[in-house]
Amino acid sequence: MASTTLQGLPASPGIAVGRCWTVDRRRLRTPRRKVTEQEVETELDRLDVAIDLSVQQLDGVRAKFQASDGAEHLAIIDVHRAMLRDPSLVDEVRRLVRVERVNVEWAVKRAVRKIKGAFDADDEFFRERRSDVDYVGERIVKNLMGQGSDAAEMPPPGSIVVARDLSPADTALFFHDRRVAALVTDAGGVTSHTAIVARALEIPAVVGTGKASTSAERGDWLVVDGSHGLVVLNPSAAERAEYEAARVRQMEREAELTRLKDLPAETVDGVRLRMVGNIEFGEEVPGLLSHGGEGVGLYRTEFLFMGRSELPTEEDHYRDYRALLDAMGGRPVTVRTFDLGGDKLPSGQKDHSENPALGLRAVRYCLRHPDLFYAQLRAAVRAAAHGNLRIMFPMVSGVAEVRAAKWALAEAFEQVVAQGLPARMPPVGVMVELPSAAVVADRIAREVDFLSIGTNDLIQYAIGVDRQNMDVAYLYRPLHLAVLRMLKSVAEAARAAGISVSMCGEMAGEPLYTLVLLGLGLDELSMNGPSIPEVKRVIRGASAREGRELLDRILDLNTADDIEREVRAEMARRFPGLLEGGARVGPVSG
Amino acid sequence: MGRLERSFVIVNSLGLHARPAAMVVQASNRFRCEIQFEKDGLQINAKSIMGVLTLAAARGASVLVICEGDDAEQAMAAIGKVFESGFGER
Repeated sequence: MASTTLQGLPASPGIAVGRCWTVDRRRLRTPRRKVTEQEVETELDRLDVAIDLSVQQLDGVRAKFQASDGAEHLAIIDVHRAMLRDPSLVDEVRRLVRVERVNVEWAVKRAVRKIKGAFDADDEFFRERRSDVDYVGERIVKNLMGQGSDAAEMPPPGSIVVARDLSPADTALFFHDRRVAALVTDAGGVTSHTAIVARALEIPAVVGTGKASTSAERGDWLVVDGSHGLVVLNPSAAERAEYEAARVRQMEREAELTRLKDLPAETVDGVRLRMVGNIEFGEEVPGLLSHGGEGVGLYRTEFLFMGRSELPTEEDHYRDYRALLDAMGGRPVTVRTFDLGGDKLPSGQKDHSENPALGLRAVRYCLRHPDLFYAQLRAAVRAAAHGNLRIMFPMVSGVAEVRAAKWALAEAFEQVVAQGLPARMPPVGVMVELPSAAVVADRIAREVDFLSIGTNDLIQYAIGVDRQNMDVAYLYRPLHLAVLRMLKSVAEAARAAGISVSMCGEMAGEPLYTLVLLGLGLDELSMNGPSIPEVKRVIRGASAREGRELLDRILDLNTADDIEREVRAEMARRFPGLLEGGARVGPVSG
Repeated sequence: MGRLERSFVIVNSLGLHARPAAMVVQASNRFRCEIQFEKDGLQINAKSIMGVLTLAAARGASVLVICEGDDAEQAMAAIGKVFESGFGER
């Protein structure tokens, strides 16, 4: 039989090869009949018994989970538990039995339908809640009909479970002893409970395939590629072998990356860099730590301002920074002050100037709006008293702006102290992302405790190219000679002033550039958590000296093309496989 | 016997989603008094998770909590704590 491939949604990454175990979750046929007046009380008693039983069953399922499985899916069970006793469900069922004299099974079905009507089907959140209500209703009806037991047959170890949809209880049963290799459902989105549980337990999963459960049969061979949302039905022996090999490679790579996690980012000639993360939400902290992040190099605070009608208060900022510092467990956290303006302003204001990229943005906007700026600064100096907080100002153009921002910080500090609140003056740094700041970095370096190079903006402003503009995006070249010269002079300026210099643009997390960055002599690289291990691997396999030699060589070249060719050739020679997409497991066949 | 009203702003990033809804419903069900939540003119029973979910209160939204009955004061204190904690989230 020829293989077929179904495209679903990538719910949990990883590859699995195994035999299909379909789970039949066809809906029950709900009986319908009229009840007599004498039967009403008996029916209502049956309802109470069925609800009690359902609650007990969920408690039993909940007990199977370990706390380490993540709080999120325990929460789904709590939601179902609350729904089982929800007055809007129970009262409606009672009313239907009493007034319309229908049997309780049918009344449950009708009440569920009514509640679902209140949830908008176009919204993913509500779609999930509709399936929660369905699940709860189904469980009550099953118990009413004496079919509520979960003593389902268990799949053999290594099976791939395929179902129309899975309830959290199903998921718990199949997964609590880790015997299932992967999970495929017809329904669901990437935020469905199936997806959440699969990610928490690191089991590959594809959801939203539409028809996997009707296409595959028990015992069929299946391949699941959870990273790309692919399910291959009846793969050929060759395809199976290919995926099996990819799975093994991936496991080896993961093992290596895990091994790397606690090793320092140190070159063979003893140069030690700090690997830190760019984050926007506290939820990203576990992923950052699990990849070996040694701190937060860039905390984007703009998120605090979005989706709300009023500015965040000092307390909002303070609570947020404290929580992040706590979550990072004493590691340094670099808070970047408000970096919006221009086209993106809080609370729906809009800048209608011709050229927002060159307009009232970032620290310029902050200096013009002290209410916004001081709330953030006061919160930062307060939070700094309790943790390893550093503060960083974005988009400064020269020494005058650095001084203005520092003056505001000092004033905020004094205000807080005058109020008798605990405060500490945090280390102060600036982003070097305007060419003017790069050119006068030597002067700026005398005013601050650290520099952080924001390459994304620096490249755009230096070359005068908007990389969102498809007509000129090809000109966006991190290895443009002008960019390299600026990076070099910023790094030298920091060294001369005896302060640390880091990089927090995308360039920092791209292994292609790692050797060049080593040549520059940066102290810290800040990137998304998942990029850390690969970059660290390069650092640990290289010497700072060869980085400097490469940098010298490319600074003699003229065009970005020539420079990139040279860097690629060097990286391919020194780190074979690194640039061939080896960092991520791609689809192996067709 | 009293009636209390207080507004709370949703502070956690994900808003009043499923898990926080279960939390506030659990808290509400510990009290005898009637507890209503009101947002954008929609009023629901805080002891009903279905009701709380239909509020779909996002971060920054303001929810009016109304407690009416013997233990209204204790209920308001308990529910206020849950809201102010950001449901234990960020």
